[in-house]
Amino acid sequence: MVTVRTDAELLADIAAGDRVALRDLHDRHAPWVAARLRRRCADPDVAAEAVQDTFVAVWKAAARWDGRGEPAAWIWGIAIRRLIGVLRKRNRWTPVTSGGHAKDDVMVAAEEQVLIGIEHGGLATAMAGLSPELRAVIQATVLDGLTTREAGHLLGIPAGTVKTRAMRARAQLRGALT
Amino acid sequence: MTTWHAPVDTLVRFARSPEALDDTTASSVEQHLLGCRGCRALVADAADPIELDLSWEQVADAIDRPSAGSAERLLVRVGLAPDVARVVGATPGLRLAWLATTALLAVAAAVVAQGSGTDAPFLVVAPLVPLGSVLLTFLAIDDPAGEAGLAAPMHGFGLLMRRTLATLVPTFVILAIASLVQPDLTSGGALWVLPSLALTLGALALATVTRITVATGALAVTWLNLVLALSLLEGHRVPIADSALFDTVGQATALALVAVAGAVLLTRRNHFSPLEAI
Repeated sequence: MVTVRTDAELLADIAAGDRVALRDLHDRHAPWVAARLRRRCADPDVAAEAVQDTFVAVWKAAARWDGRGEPAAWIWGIAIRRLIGVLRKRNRWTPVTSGGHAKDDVMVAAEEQVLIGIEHGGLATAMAGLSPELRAVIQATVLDGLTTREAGHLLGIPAGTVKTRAMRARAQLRGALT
Repeated sequence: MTTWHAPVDTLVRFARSPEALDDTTASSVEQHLLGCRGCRALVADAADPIELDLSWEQVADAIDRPSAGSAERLLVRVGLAPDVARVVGATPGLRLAWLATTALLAVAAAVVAQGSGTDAPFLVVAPLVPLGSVLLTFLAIDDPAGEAGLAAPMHGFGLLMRRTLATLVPTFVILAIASLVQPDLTSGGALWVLPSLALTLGALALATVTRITVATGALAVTWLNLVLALSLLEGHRVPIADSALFDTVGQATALALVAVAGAVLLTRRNHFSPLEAI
């Protein structure tokens, strides 16, 4: 019987210097990480470089994974910061222009609403009602878990603007949910 | 934990053209993927295998590359191109050994100076130290990184100068610090600088016509003979800092030598191949 190593086992083996384990982890996770990064950066080259940097970082930092939680979330935490790193290195911002079409042309599937927040059924709809700028800020700070500063780097706006937009977005969301 | 899974066609669209997905759907998929191995596998299956291979090749390439040493990172920080920094900073072991020796010499000179109340040992030895740096840099071309340097797509002269400077600059800094602890600061502070520069540039200029071992050796012997001759001529009563070697005439001569050696070096830089130099 062929046993497939879990992500946690792969990370342990990577920490011990197992290249095959890194390749397995890369092939498992690089596709969704790449897709997710491409939604946050219009330049596919930048996204691809960030993906590569991410797995190089995983190779070096695997020993520091504390073994708790979901490896995918840990990898994403590295990936989004590597994206910011690559953007800063290239010193230019090509933030994705968040599509303003979501409001009118999408019938939000009930299941998808559930995913966004089981406790807050209306959150997805409320999110869709935000302007693209505000939604991008909420996405970066809440869904991607970035700090105000990091979100500012990613979106190419000052940290102060991130703060004010996040405040406005929260107020609007609160209004929509109550 | 939800038992819901993202629709397969949504996952395929997410994998192939994530930009085209609307924000709400994408956010849902993204949050779901963090916790769902099965859906991640579906995304992986739908992704372009060629792109994935390419990505892995880059990752494998990067982890096989030796990581930058501290000297190399410092060089990049001060503005050197990373590939130049790699070649310049490639002999950290040798260079570190040399700098440690320099520091040791400087401390020894300082101790002697404090004990005897004279800066003579320092003034005699200091100009020889950069000569050693030059010799070391050239000899380091024997090592594997040096070989890589020979094959580097860069003019031999430029590369050699950069590598030489990478050792010379810290050497001069150490000497400068050492000169601060010499007694007799009023007269002696920077007296060693011009003779040191003259000897260093002289050695480099000579290296365009002869081998570096000969060039540095000849200049070191010349320097020591000068010191000896002057101390015999003027008698031991005259402190070396006040002797002809370091007074106004000596400094002016050193400056002239710096200019001449620099000019020779620049005009003959094309005769300056590391291969011939050894």
